[in-house]
Amino acid sequence: MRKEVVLIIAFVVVSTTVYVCFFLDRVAPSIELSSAELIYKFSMDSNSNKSNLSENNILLSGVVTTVKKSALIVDKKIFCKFKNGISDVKVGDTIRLFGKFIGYDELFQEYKLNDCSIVNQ
Amino acid sequence: MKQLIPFLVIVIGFSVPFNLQAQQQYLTRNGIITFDSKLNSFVPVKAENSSVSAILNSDVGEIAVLALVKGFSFKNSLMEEHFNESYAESDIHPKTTFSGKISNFDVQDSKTYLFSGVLSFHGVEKQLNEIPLIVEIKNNRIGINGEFQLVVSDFDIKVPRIVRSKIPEKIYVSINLDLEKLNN
Repeated sequence: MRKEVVLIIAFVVVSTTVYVCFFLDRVAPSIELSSAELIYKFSMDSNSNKSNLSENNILLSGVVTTVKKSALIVDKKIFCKFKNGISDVKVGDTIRLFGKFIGYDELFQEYKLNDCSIVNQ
Repeated sequence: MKQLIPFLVIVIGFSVPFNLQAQQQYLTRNGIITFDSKLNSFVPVKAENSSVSAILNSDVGEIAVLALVKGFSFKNSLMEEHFNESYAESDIHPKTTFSGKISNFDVQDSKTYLFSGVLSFHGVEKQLNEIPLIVEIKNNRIGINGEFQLVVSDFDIKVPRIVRSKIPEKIYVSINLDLEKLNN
């Protein structure tokens, strides 16, 4: 009987440790950045050849400069592709959006976010 | 010499706008590239990137395509993580590009054209020759569609022996670009 209790406790401890070490950081809240902060952080990452940004989903705030069918350009530099269509967004609006940072596009000289969605203020 | 100057001004004046007009470009930021092993495995090795950038110079038939490796999404998120961390190593090699030429390209003519150029992925540059892709031209838009095969071992991707049987040798890449005319 005592052996079983010890085994159960050991199992709980081990599984909790595994969960905390390997899974908890993946559901951690994303970092919030402005466009300028994102560009600065990316340049720091590429200098050190180590990426801190891409692990994270990003909460970005900025001013809309172009509206496309399923994408927005924020502060002329950040291209945000949406999962679904966009409604009620105009050029000049200040928005907050949630998306996954995938990198720098050298052809268009833009930073790209995928799977974006607008976060209500 | 002094008499030549007005003549030169006229020649340069005429040639500058002519040159600008000659460089007609078509662009997209929403191109789609998918790759698929087409093997009947339990979890299919298949991913799609729907934010591919491409620029086509229609006068000379030159094309540049760029896809960010982290933009490839798999159905299985664990597979996506393994792809990024172990195989494509997307932190070290964040992008895959193709730059090349379309043989005998004519902006008036929709048909299958042959594409040749250099594909770069995982830090390896591979020459691709005469890949047939369907080009459709209408209403200031150019559509490029098609499929071709790549061999995984060409790209210096290290596959551990344990999973070697699950990783396909050949991968089918399909491309779908809808390029829009750039208004000068």
